Amino acid sequence: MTAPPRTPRTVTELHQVAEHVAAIAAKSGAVAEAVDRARFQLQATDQLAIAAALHGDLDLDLDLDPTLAPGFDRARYLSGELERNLRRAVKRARSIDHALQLDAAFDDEVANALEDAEPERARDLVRLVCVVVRLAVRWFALQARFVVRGAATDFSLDDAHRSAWGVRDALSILEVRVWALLAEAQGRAAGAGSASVVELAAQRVLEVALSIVPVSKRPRYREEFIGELHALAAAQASGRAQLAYACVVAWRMWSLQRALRSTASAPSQERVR
Amino acid sequence: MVDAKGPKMTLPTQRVLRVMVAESTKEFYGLELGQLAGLASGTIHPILARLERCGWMESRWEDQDPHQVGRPRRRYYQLTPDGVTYATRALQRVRTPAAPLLHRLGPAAGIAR
Repeated sequence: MTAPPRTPRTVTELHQVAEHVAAIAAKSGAVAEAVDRARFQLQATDQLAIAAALHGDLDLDLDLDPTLAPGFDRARYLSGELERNLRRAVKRARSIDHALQLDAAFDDEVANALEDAEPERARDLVRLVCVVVRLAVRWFALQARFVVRGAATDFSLDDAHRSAWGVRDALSILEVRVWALLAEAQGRAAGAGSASVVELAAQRVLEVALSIVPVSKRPRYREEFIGELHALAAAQASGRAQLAYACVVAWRMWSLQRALRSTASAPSQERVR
Repeated sequence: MVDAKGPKMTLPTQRVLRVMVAESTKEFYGLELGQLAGLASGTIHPILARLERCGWMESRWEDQDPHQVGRPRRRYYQLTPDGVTYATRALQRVRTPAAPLLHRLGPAAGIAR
């Protein structure tokens, strides 16, 4: 693939790339979670089958002990759920694959973005990640289809599980890197002086911690926290102080997540503890 | 819609509200508000999110062009008119062992000595 002459990415372009990576990473997270659920359901089904086997040699169709009937109903339900979850996971995995294939320029787009900051390794790194992700997605889809078709073994589901989480982790790493790059570019765009004193490590801590916040709220809080980091830097806060700020924000991110998801209903007269 | 009951009135929430009620027409950005309320930097956003969610507070991005001011945009927070009323009432209702502590904090907690 011949890359066109490269010009530095603007903040808007980087933002588009970051959103693109984030959308695909979010899909991969959904796949991994669906496989997690399927695994749990398979284990539960297995346990019920073992319990039945221990109870005696039962011909399920002809000689079903009435006391076991609810258990078998539950097993059948879980088995159906397992299949539905896996079908859903395969569908989502295919959509990731499709998204990557449809956008043939995806590798170049991300590589060019990263190359502005890491000219030495960016292109190789991104291509490697994209190749690994594509292979893992296809391997996962293949394994999951085996399970759905009834040619299932625990091994194939475990393999699918590993692939799904591998895809998700690889895309998360890529996502964090692109968001960090965006934050640097925003810093540069905001003022040449301030960008140099903002601690990169603090920005990265914030980027990773932001993954806890609902996706729809991330851009707002990203800009807000990075803005505060710049305010600290402008006030001559040391790199350590900035990192401490980022760590406190990260520590409180669960609380922020709860606040964003909860509804305000507690009485104001509640006593202070 | 404004939730009259509002958020849980924890000590940090009271400190934030006292600062904001004391200057109810002023807009504050997160870091500034945290410093004025005497809270550790980075701890204030969950409180602001709860206050915003129950309609006591609203926020907006500043109008300044980041290129002109030489820094990223700030998010400004201000109590809504209903929020001022509800927050004032809620602070008056709160009679807790923490009140003397808040009083000792003085300006940091938005209390005139």
